[in-house]
Amino acid sequence: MRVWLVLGLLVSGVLALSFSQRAGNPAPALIPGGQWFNSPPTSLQAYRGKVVLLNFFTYSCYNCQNSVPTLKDWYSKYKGQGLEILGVHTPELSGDYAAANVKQALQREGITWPVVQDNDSATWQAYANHYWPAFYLIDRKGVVRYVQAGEISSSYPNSIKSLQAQIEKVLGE
Amino acid sequence: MSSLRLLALCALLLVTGYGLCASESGIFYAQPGQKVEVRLELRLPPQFALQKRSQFWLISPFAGKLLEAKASGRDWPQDPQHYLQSFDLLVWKLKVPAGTIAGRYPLQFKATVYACDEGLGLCQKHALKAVGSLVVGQQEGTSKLVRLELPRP
Repeated sequence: MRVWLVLGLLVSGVLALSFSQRAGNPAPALIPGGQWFNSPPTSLQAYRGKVVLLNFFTYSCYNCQNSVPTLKDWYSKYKGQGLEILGVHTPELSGDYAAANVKQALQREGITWPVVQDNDSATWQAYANHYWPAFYLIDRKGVVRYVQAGEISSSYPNSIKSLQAQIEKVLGE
Repeated sequence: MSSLRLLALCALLLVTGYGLCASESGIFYAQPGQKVEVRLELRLPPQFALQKRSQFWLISPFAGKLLEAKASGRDWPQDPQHYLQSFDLLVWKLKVPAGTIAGRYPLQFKATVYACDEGLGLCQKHALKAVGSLVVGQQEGTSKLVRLELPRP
């Protein structure tokens, strides 16, 4: 009996942990400390009232690079309706850590939205994220509404469709 | 270990963020003063390539030291500098000190696995753990390698 009680508590803990960063929960804060590009240091709190697409990426990631044109398209198309994109640059390779390399890559890719370095993976861990690229759609009240991982490009049209549909839905609320 | 206890242990380890439940424990046998090969098999979901910077460690049951093993195998044609398409077993050669008391010694493995999937268009990073046992000074049985499995996205 006691074993089952312990097991039950453990399993409920597992479920709570597994779903804590998923849709329907408040978005964890960005962990401060990283260098910002295209913006002074900011927080998710400052974006209340906006819809935020939080993008975990690293500039050396091929799938992340391929996703940039879609993000640019959405940034110009939906910014007027309240969409903001925030990039969280979590390194994968050793060269990804240097701020100068990140800055150069952002210029090369033409990324104009705010990006913060997450060199110690603190924000990555706060979101219990495991993927590059990953997208967390946060509504105007600061709640994570949708999570998607993987390249969004013409090579993966269904990925574009699913994420875009969610963006339009949340923007329309 | 009863299945109930194992399930409880899995739940606890999931709560603490480790992927032990995606692993299979192994067992190895040796005599004091001998060298023993401890082997770990990493399994990735289909279509995944392993980043060469992935790290694999064994905590030595004798000195408590972290021993690293490097993944090797066949390069991934799309990015041969950074990725492996297929890879060999990871092997650690452990020296069992002479005079080691007979018994069962825990083998703890830690890994930071980076892998990319062209089919899904993503890369992932997971910290994984696995355990095994080294039986010293007893009648030798059939060794069983440790398996570590990267979860599907």
